[in-house]
Amino acid sequence: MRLNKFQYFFGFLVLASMLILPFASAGIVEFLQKTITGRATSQFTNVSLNVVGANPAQIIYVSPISAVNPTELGYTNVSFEVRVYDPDGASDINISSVYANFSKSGETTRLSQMCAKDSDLNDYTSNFSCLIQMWYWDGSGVWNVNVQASDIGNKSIVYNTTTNFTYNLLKAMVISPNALTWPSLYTGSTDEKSNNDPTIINNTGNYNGTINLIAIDLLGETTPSSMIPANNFTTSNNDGTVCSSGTVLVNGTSTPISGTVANRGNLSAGGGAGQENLYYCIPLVPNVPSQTYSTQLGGSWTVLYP
Amino acid sequence: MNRNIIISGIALILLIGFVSAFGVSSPYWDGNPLFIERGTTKIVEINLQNMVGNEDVKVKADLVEGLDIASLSNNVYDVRAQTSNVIVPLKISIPAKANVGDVKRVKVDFRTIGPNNEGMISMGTGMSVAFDVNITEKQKGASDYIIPIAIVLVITLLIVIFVIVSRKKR
Repeated sequence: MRLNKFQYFFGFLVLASMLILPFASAGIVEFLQKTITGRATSQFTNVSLNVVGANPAQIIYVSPISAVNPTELGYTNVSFEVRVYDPDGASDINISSVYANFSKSGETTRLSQMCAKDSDLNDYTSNFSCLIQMWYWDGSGVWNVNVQASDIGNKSIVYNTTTNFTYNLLKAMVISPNALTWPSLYTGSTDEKSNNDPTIINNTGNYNGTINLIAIDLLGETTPSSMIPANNFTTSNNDGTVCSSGTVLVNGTSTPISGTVANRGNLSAGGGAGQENLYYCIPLVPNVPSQTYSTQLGGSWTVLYP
Repeated sequence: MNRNIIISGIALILLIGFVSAFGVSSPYWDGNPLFIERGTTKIVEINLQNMVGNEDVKVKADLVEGLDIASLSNNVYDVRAQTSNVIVPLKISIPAKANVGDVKRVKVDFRTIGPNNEGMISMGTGMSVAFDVNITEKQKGASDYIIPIAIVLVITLLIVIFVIVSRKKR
């Protein structure tokens, strides 16, 4: 069977239509829709994304802190200012991200609550107030001030460690009980210990050295010319050895008590933290007339942080 | 009999007839010395506290070391209970002729003065404040340069006036 020209041409049109229509139909439908509804089904659109807060915040200022005195058996509030800058604007600063702490080698780090925002100094900088409590047993010396902050956009945490301050030395104590007694004594008797010791020395400051005792000769209240010299007494922080190897006291002299230490610490924690005990002994009661001997005429004894 | 005398009177009632509590805070201590320029004076503020209990205490201050450079204006201080703001001003004065590099030591003893209880042996508390004083060279401040600069300016001004007057005469 031979095909004529018209048949070839018709076949060509059919094939061309099969190839073109799938691509052209959308346009036709679109054209028809656009013509009928008056609206385009799609169109090219310019999209622009404005990314904000890409820059990290900066802690540009931490106010100087003057030397701080500890408070006896309490805490001292230490307050200071922090300024946080963000090139993306102050509104990008995460105001709940500003914290501070004080640190010193060998000491418990003291943390702030969240630093409170005070105000915006300008469009890019906010001012914060920080408060940290320093306790009475915290060590004296230089403490480092560490501040951190972050922003909403970048989220990275930034730090400032450029500031420090001096926490002063506080020597403070409370001693108890309010009376020390001995049983009745006989001349020549030995190893007579106080019957209501120890003297408990509560360290209410941050001193951490030895403890001294200034003893005074005990003078007779009836006959002051008779006395019991201070060097008849020994004292120690060990009840078992106070008579045999306790420190011999010296009249009117600040005498370090061997082995003692002020043990600075949190008295509320118990377990001996912040405390030291002193025990007393008369290794040999001297041969003195019977009468009352006291410090009434010579002056009191003194427990001393030297 | 005499050997068996009861030293009843000894009683050794080591009484602390009051709650002996107080504290002393200092900005300088052993290991944290004061650096001071020769020819200058500084007031070191020592802080007395009595934050424990309800008893007022009387504290005696004695300057025991550094009498050549330090002085106290008062020797007895009343520290009321629940206070921490009593200041003891310790004046440190370094002579202008003092040697740079010299280290002086200052020590102040603070002791409670207790009530004199009949038949009792009182026991008090005490703290010492002791620190080194390092003498340094006096730093020249801006005010030290004012007079030399003024002299130079005056001389320069006189020269300029002299030159101007000389040219006019020609």
